Amino acid sequence: MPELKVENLSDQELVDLTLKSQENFLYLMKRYQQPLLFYIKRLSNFDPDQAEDVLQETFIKTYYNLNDFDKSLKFSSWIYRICHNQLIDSYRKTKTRPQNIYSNYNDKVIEGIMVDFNIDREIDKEYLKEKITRIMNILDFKYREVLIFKFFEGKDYKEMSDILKKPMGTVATLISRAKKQFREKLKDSDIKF
Amino acid sequence: MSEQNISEKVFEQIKEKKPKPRWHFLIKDYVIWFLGLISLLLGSLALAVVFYTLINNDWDIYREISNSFLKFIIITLPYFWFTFLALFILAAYYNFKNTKKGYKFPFYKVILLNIFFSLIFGFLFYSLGLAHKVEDSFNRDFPLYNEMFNQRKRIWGQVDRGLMAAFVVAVDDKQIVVEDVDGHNWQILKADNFRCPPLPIVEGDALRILGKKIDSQSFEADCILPLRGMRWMRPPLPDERKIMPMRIIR
Repeated sequence: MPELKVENLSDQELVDLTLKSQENFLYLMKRYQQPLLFYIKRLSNFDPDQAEDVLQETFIKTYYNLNDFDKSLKFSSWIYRICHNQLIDSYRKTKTRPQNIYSNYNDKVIEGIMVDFNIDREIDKEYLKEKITRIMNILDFKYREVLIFKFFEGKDYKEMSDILKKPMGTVATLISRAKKQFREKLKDSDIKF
Repeated sequence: MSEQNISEKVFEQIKEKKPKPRWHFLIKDYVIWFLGLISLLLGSLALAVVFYTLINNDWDIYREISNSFLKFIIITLPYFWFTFLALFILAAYYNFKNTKKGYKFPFYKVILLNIFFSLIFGFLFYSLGLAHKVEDSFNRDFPLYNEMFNQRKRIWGQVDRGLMAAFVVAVDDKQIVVEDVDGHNWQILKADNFRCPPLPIVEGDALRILGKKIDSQSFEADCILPLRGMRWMRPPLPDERKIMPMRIIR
């Protein structure tokens, strides 16, 4: 199958093809390895090897459970769910508390946060990035995760609901509480609203 | 390790291996739904027993049992079956939440839906007569339940307080002999101030007898009423029941 054609296929089509021929799973992995690795690094304090272990386990579990994929879901929601569960398992095993998380904030992410939290537009973006990183470090895990989904991964409520396996109302409450905690931490700093 | 290598490495690990078959997940789904359904039905059965217990409660003479209606309710509620019901509602909730789409529904919706179906099935089971069979079976087969959780047995076993539940073992023109909830036989004497409507009594009848204890074998009744519920007290098989000449207490 020509490379170009495979890249144009949807996730669902690639899942169907993988079930017929294993090699196609490679394309799915390549499609998701970078976003998932960023997600793991943003959410955890794992070193690169640990993060890659989580990613590997995620891919292996995804492959073995391909027949369990519910086609009414987005494949991305499903694989993020597996990754989320794998991350929680790894936390439990290592018993580490996430700190000093990875931060690669592009301008779009920063813009989104500035708009959502009504932050003074005159502020130096590098300074703001540093503050955001510091605040994200001290947020509760569940709140940090939904903020990462919202601002960094661009997930909507439905996708977050499918990933976290929580009703949409609960996701909305989580986001609202996460924003409240984030805003409180932001107030404690010298950032102007 | 480069990102390229992660995919390659995983691919090496899964090479020649197949995903788990679809039936594996289907069976898991069916088992979860089956357990959820069983929990719902068992919860409904518990609710049917709650209906049975409440319908057959001593509402007509609650003043004889307690001086306050609220206290009467508190002492006669079937806590055992309410606990049973709550446990199975939670079990059904847990199973439903673990179905593929169960997580989409908030806690209160799942619980309300569960209660709704429990009410429907509970009424159905009650109408089919399953509730009294379950209650009888628990009383006959589980002495601990009978001793600890049967509030009515406790209430109607207070012979010293003038409350006796019993079934008639012998009846003739002169006397009634009954066996109480603890298996003791009593001769029932009619009090001069008998205050209840006359009741046809035959052998095997289950009765609520109000009055006072005379001695270790005699009880003076000032009111005799049919006993609702508590069928476990009676001889189990109807065909064992002898039809004796009826005696009317007036």
